[in-house]
Amino acid sequence: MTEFETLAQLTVIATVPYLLASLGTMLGGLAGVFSVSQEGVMVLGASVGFLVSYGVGSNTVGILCAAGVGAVFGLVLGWATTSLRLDQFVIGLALFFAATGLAGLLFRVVVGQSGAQPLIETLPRLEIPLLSEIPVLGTVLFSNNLLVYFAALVAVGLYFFLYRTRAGLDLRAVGENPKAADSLGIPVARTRIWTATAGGALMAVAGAYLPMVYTGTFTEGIVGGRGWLAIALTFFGGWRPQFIAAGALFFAAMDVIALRAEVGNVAIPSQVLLVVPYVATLLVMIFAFRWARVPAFLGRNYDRESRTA
Amino acid sequence: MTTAEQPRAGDGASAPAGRVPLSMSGVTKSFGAVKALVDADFELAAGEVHGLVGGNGAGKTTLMNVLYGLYRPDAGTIRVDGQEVHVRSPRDAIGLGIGMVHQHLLQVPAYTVVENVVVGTSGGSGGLRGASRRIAELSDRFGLSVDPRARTDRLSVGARQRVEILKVLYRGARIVVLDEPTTNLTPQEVDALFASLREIVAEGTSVVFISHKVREVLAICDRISVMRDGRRLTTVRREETDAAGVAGLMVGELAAEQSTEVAAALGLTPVGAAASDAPEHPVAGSAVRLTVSGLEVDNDHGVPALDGLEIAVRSGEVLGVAGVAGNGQVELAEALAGVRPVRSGSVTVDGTELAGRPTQRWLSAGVAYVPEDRHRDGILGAASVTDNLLLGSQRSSAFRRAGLIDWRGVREHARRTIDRYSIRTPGPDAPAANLSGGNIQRLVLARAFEREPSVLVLQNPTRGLDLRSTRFVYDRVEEARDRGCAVVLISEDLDELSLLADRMVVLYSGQVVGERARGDFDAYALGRLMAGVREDA
Repeated sequence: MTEFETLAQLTVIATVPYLLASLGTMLGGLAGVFSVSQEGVMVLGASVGFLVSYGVGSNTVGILCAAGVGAVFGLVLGWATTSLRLDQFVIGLALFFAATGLAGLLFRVVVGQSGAQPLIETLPRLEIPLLSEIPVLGTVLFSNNLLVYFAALVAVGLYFFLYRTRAGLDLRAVGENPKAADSLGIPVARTRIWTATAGGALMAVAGAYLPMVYTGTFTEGIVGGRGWLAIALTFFGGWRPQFIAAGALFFAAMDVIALRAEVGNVAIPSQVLLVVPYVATLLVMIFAFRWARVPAFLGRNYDRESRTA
Repeated sequence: MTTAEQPRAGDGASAPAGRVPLSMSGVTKSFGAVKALVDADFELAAGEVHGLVGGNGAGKTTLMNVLYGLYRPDAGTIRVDGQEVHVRSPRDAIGLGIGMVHQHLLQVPAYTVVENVVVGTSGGSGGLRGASRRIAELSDRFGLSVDPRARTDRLSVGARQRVEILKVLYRGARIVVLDEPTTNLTPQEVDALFASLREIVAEGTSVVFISHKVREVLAICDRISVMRDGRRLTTVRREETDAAGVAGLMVGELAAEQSTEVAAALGLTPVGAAASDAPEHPVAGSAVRLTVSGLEVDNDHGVPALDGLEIAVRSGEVLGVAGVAGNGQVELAEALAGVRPVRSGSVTVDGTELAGRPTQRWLSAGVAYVPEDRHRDGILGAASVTDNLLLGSQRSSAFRRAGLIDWRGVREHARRTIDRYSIRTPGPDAPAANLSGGNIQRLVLARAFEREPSVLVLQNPTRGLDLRSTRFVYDRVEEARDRGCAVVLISEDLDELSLLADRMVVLYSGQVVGERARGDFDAYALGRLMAGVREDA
């Protein structure tokens, strides 16, 4: 494998958590629910995913359980901000803290303080027949773990669902103008609740990916800010799956290059490279806000009988 | 065109014989302590345009929102085709063949016309292409021309209005409710809308036309129901009534004093007639309070909006500023109120130069401002009526004790003010945005007047207000004038200007292009000036 192929494949692998967490953020956001609990839900997803697959011995079950717990957090966000009309930002932050705390607690309760660090099998590489034999592309794209393919499918699927179907048109109308959607008989609260729930599940899977692909174990700092970056990435991608996917690749490439600099002997100090994703995010946020279209009712609750809005 | 059609069977008060597509009875709805609807009833006949008129807060829109499932009534029954129904959401209403075009266009600006029309009908057969064809078909049949593939935010207000009607027709509505559909339309667009409505009812659909513009209601409706104070007062047939009759029913006790003001507010008297009736008001000798010279101001995009403007207003004088919207009115109003930066030139009040000074200085110099967009610029919607009345005076020593705000005094003052200006509110602590348009304007005026201003700047102060509230505004302006205030009244309504102004200037492209003294307000001459034809040209 050439150096380029190695770097490209590492980038593809590193893209997944960004992509899934951002798609989850986007899905809820397009219906108007703006989550800020990604970081927490990802840590929780990592913890639950790791613990279940450690206990049961199956990564698939671990991923499914992580998704279920993430869905519950998304459901709470959706329900609290529609049925109870509580502030989205406050609830999101509360859920972030709750999820972070719960993640650490679960790990300590189940694993205890024993000295030996438990390990799980990382996800195996699945070589897609024929496609994986294409030179370069085959190695980079078609001999990866299951979640790489899953993330790509989610991105493509969401694109078609949101921008090519009537149901997607209805969903986006809820985030653009809930009053208009409501007046046309689209169930605003139900739409918001299910998108927030599905979004939470995707974020948790993004978290579960980390122990299952990288470390084989759980540590509290395992997510390392990827959840917060996912928010920035969603804005960067203009709340559209195709641009979010491109942005996720860019963020991942930054990660990989910085990591390489740390171990290899690149002329630039690795500390400088490690800062690059954050500086890039900052620049992107400054410039993306000029052109990126944000759902008009992002983060704003809807009350049918309110005359204040 | 568009006069009422031949009389139908049945007398005016009861519905014509035959199918009754809709009847509502005993509908009651409260918002907090405000009773928006009190035992209201309403009946609609097949194939009629039914006018629903009344002042601000009379309950017209609330009643129709109940019908459309947007508001849940506290009591009351709704029958569609004689069958009692429960409308819990717009989805139910659409299922019953009820469609509503709201006063504020409910569209997704970033969607195309087709997308806006089909949204919410998912499960409907065929792709967007099929929908496009159906929309084109409906457009043709009812004369609602619009390009289905155009992006909605690129369309004119008139075209967006047509999209709203298409939305309703696309869903197969047999009862179409239009809430003040003509507010932002040009006269030509209003004519076209009326022609389309005639086509729609010709096919057996019924239309409810909510409005407070008497002239339009008389032009299009077959029957007219008048609402006041949350109930239906009466229903009359078009041919049994006239403008004065409907106006009288709308305003109630004010009907007794069918004064020139009311007529002028309705636009029933031509410009000039009102002016000649009103007594001359002597201002010639009084002192100049407001002087504006060489005023240059930019608009929001940094483009010059006022170009060396010169005006002077005396104590006890009302200066009317006429002109077509977009010729610098907003910028003039904001510059005179001290909320828009003055690029160059001077604004003095009682000899004090204010240009370039902080807004607080303008306030303490006695400048009061009644903005055009009262919801956006006049109030803090989510703050209480009390807070809104305090706003701007929060640093005044009258409301301070030991360096802090004296809330007891503030509340006392709010209660007195609410009383004196008859602001209809559930209470001093209710959010200001919950008040009706007329009452929000009363609040804004109350705040301005309680400060005893020396200069009062008003822009389109009666837009969207009913007769009673309009009258209230006029009375307050005259009161301020009589107290020696210098009033600048910026308005697009020539009737209003003719009624109140002692002198009128015409604003065109950021400059004063002409001036007329009271008694010389000729609508045609003013119209030429407003169109930019210079007097000396």
